Amino acid sequence: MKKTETTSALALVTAQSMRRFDAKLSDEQIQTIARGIDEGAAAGAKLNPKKKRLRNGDEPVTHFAVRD
Amino acid sequence: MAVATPSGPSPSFGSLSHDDVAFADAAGLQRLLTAGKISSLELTDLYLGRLEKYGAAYGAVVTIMHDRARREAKRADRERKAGRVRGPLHGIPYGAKDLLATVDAPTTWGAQPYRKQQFDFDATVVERLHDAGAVLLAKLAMVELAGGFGYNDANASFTGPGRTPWHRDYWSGGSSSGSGAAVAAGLVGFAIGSETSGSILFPATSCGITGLRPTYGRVSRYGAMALCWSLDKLGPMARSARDADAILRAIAGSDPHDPTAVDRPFAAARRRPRIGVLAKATAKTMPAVRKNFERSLAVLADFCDLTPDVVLPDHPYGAAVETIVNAEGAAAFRDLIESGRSRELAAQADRTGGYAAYATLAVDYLDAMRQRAIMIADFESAFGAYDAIVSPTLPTVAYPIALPFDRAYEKYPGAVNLIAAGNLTGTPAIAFPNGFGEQGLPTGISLLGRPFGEAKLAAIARTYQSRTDFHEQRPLL
Repeated sequence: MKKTETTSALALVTAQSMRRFDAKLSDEQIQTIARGIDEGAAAGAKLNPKKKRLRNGDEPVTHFAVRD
Repeated sequence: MAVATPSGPSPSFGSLSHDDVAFADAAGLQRLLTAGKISSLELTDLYLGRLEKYGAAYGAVVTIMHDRARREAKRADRERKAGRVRGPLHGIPYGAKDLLATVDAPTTWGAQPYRKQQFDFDATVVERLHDAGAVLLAKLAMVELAGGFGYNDANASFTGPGRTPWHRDYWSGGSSSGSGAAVAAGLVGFAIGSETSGSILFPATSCGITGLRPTYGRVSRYGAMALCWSLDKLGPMARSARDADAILRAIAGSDPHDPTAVDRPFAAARRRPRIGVLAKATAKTMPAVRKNFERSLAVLADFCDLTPDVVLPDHPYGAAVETIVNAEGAAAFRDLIESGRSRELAAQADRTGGYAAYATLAVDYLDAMRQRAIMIADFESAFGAYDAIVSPTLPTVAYPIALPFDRAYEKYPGAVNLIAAGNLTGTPAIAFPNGFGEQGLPTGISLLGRPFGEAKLAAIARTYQSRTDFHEQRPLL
């Protein structure tokens, strides 16, 4: 995925909150985490392009099994 | 192309050189064992020596299991002498990706925080191979945590980067990096790898070997590291399609320890298989990948009915895989993330990737799983009457170790979408070599099949390999 140049404020705050797990995370690492969070959100946004694909009744594969 | 010339006759194996033996496929090794030209113990010692000599140089091995290997080899020889041969893998030495639990060695998951991890049982796959008479030689290197934290360069394991035996400056692929390199370098008779999304097919291609990703549920994952419960699969990495088929049959089947594992028959291939050629499969590939793919289609056309320009349903496969792996991976490694020990991981991207994954929204994960249900249904319809869909496995040859992945081949971005689509839908695939490209590195072709259609894929690949010799080429170590 293409790297975003700037990070959203929400991603940055969320990234900073990860210092509760590792207080030694550098500012640069926090920026990297924030970019990753934004990229994850971008992937999430791509899941439903044009808001067409998913309808209210479309259920998730909660117990995954293949068909044959 | 770096191809080894025979190193001359060896007094130990009659007219066969050590390389002839080391690079034989398991079926060929079984013929030697049956004919009494070599014992399993001799074969085991040969491979143990090669693992010692080359294993670290190719970033292929974590732990060599001398005692267990020699013990199992002696058992195989004893049984053979008494007239008991358990099957096609009896006495054949192999290596297991180091995410499979074994009692006799640490199981490191390729990651520093788990370097001393020890289990008191063997994974089901290891047990089944033991029951089939195979000999476990070594735990093979892998990308840390099977790549779940988003690594972006080859140096993503505490054992260093895996190197393809075709050119040591290039990556062996991931995440089954050691399994790929060890099979290609003739360090083991075959190997077991795992795939969440590409981790068998990718290294099989970068190393010029045959990799078979089974249908989700065909093989028990009990005792294997979990990265992503709804995507993880275990499968063979071998020097031929016939080996891959035999290995899969040995490890397949239901398991009370893994509720997803099922017993299903191996359906035979029809006399003239029907193959759909993925539309625009070579639109963004290296020239050599395109040329080799076109030549492969000509070979396949001799014994298959090919339909060009098959279009698969348009879905956000890549985004769905990314979201699912992030969410399930963060859950699987929640302890590691919350402990702050991600900082011990080898790859810079992995030291932070877990935290980003930890922030994946539950609604995005559920939407990905909702999309997945639609994808499975659409895929089933689109597959039509085909036995397989064919495409190049990767758009490029192996990645250079010196560059981050996203800068390695900027002219050829992304991957062929079949890897993400096939994994999301739980369908099987086989990847095998079909030529060489830049820097003498191998290129590959993949067949994607219907659920539980592995035997058909292996049969097609086997016929292809009976008409070509790319799988028999040996790298010069």
